[in-house]
Amino acid sequence: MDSMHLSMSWDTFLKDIKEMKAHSDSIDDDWLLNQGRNHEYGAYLSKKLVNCFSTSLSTDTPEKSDSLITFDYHVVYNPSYGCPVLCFNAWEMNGSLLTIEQCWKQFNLANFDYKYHTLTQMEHPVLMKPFITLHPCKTTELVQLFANSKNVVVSWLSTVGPVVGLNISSHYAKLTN
Amino acid sequence: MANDREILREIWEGKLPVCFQLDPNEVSELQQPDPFFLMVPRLSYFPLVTDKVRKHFSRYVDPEKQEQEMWLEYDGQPVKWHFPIGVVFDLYVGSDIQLPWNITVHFDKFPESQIFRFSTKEIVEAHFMACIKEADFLKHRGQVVSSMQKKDHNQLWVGLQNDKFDQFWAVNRKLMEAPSDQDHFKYIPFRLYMDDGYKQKLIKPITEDGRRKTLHDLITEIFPNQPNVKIRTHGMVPPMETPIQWMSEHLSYPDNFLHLCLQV
Repeated sequence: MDSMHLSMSWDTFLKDIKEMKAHSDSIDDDWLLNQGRNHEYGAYLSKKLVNCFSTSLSTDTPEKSDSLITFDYHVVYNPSYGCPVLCFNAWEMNGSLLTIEQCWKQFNLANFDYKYHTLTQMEHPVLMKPFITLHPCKTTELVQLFANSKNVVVSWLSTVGPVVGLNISSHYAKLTN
Repeated sequence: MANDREILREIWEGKLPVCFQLDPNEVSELQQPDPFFLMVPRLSYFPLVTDKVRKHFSRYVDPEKQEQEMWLEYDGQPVKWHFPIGVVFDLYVGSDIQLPWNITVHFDKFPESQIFRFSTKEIVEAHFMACIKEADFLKHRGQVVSSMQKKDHNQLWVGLQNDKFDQFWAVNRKLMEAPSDQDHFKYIPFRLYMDDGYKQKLIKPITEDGRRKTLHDLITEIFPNQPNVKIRTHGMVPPMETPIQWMSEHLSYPDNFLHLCLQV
């Protein structure tokens, strides 16, 4: 940790995601370590997950029905804030991307004004494509709470992941102490 | 501090003439619609200025598609309208300038994996405020934005949306002040555009020995081996010896970032 600004350095982020990837391999979890080309902060983790939702996501079918949604979660480094960022895209079975309105509804944010500064589309810092992103502006404060963790990315991700449907197995806890 | 008002005004008043045309393949009426001409502020965003464009063209497309989200294309590429208009122009059109700027309008096949969905103005506002926050985090560790009230945030947004220079700058000047114990920002918020993306990096406005860094210094920190590149912003090529603290105060877009396009 950089004690001057209490933010996370790129090297710490890289160490943390590599540990997480190694542990993921050992327990047959599906995290992938990706490397963007020609990019200073190009390494990031990703994981695809299929979730079954019992609520209707589409606006034109008001009745409830089961739908399978594929989530592609990414953990990326934000150099401005010096912190990890969680973002994702999600598809319905027919291949269409979930809109931000559908995600707000799914994650119980639709009725709150703070949704606009919590979860919106942002540019993926490596892929430069729109991803639905948990805003990084509060993450720096959160990351400080995990100053004693041996793996801040794991501690942070297990805290914020469930907000957007991503649960981190308790097996990863051993990386943090 | 941003005290050269004449320059701030000049930058604010930058406009581009645009000719919008509906994709002929999407016209479902017998008669082709006339093109739609608009002078748009360089500092604004397309989703803020194209309500009239939508209204003009929507009745010419298949009724089933009229309610779909409109999107724009230039030179075969979907327009990345989360960038300010002037950035899109400098990036795609560059130095080979032919005006008006011809942009194709679509209602069908929204390229959802490539561009943002701005279904409401609130979502554009959220994007704009997220940029301001990031810039303030770089300049002041986020302390100015977080000390502002909601009405100040609102004034920045409404000032931009309604093209009101005084309204916008009454609040923005606070974001452009250096911290009280220094005469410069912590880092300079900038994006350096190239190829299909941009680079961002933590760059301080002064050197270790207190000298003011120039645009040339900034470029050298990012491309150590290519010192002879040129940069375009607001349609002009600023001299390489311009101090970046001054540039940040005077040439930043309303989102508080310098948007610098690499010239090849």
